[in-house]
Amino acid sequence: MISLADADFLALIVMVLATAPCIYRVLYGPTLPDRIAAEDAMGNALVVIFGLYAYRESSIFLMDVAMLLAIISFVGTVVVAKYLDKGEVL
Amino acid sequence: MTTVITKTVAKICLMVDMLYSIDLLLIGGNRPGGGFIGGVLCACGIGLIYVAYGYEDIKKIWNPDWHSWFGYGLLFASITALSPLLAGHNYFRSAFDIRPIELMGYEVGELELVSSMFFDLGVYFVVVGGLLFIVTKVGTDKVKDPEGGQ
Repeated sequence: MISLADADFLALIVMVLATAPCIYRVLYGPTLPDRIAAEDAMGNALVVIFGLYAYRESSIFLMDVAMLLAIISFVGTVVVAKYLDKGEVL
Repeated sequence: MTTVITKTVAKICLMVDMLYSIDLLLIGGNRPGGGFIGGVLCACGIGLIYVAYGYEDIKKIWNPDWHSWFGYGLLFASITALSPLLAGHNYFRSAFDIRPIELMGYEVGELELVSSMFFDLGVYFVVVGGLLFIVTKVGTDKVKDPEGGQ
């Protein structure tokens, strides 16, 4: 039986390990859509890491970082998706 | 123009962006936040609308001069930074005051008024104007030859 403090530390370790395949796919992805999907997944994993760390440290400040990262990661993914679809951004 | 899913999500995301951008602008100073990151978030929301609906269509409805926003924001921030010299204080000196909020004779809270808020507002307009000026100028630059030749 693990306590709650150990449980969120375990979740933090799992989320950090989850970014490793994303980094591999960003570096060695054969095509550009592979890299973009991996970058989006890594952004979401980072948002979860910030949220878990804010909970673990009992601090509200890192939740601002998590929400900003979520919004900016979404905007970046939409921009690159339109570039891949139409060939131009604006 | 993009699909209807992108347009709908962009509208929802624009509202969240603007609210959170104004929130970050107002809480700056005591907590993480401030004019710069609020401006970045505002530029992100407007840029997302430009991407989702197309720059040419948005330009018919609302087309401000983003470089003027940059210039007026810089002027506003500079005037705010220089104004303590008139009162004999140091450059960039900020003043603050705490006023009680009264509602029907009862004191319900207190409002902290700081003069560095105006400097943050100038930085906000500088960031919004600068980022969106770059986005619109670089985004509408048509490439003559996609192979890279002249």
